[in-house]
Amino acid sequence: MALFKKKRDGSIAVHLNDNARAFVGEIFNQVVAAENDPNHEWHLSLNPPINPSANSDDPLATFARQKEMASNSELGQMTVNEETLSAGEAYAWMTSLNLALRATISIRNIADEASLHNTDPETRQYIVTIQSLLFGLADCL
Amino acid sequence: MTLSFPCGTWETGEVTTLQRIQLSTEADTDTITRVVTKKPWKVIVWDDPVTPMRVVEVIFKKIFGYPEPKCTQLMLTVHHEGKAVVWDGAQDRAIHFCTQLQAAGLMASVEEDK
Repeated sequence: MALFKKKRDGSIAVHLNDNARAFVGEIFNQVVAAENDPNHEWHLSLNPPINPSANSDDPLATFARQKEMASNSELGQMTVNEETLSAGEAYAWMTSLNLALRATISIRNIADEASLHNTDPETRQYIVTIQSLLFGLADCL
Repeated sequence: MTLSFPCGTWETGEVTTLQRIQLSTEADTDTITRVVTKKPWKVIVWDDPVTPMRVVEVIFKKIFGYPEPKCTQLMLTVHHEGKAVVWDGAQDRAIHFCTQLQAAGLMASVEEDK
């Protein structure tokens, strides 16, 4: 059975067991924590430069990005146990999971296919699991 | 811009006026060209080895509202060439789109087109 299935009314059915929901919920918690805690290992990778050639980015732009990330991950936290998601909620799940994926490859220095192949099995399994969820969500959006 | 007719005979005045119009038209064209080509800002999305292609397409569609084929084409450019310019235009809008792409987990940045 597919992890997510788009229904006729446009909502998306979530076919995840308790363990999978706990896994997803933990990712949402980590994204929220990383946004709020400058010492979190994901914090830097979630806050890349917007204009790399400038000395600093516009604070309003970085604030807007943080607000968007926080909204999505907090929406994920609130809906992690739902049986069905709206398209907006599913998009929030997808973006938060994608942020976790980007943070993971950033802190593990995974920059290409070769480094992905050479990473430790646990990290690779973590990445593959998130990718599976992303594939499922993207197919419904 | 000077469109007024000069004093003098009709024949002389006609030539002069034409020249003036031509000159002033060139000047206007020059001015307009400068406005149109005023350093647009580019939004660039960079390739990464883990984000599924379909996810990138969905994000492009959601943020820019592009039709499906254009999302696919941009995604493939990112995948094959390592990066793609996904939007260009005014600086404030470029930054807005870039923050949305970054908030969606894509590697994106803005760059001034010099």
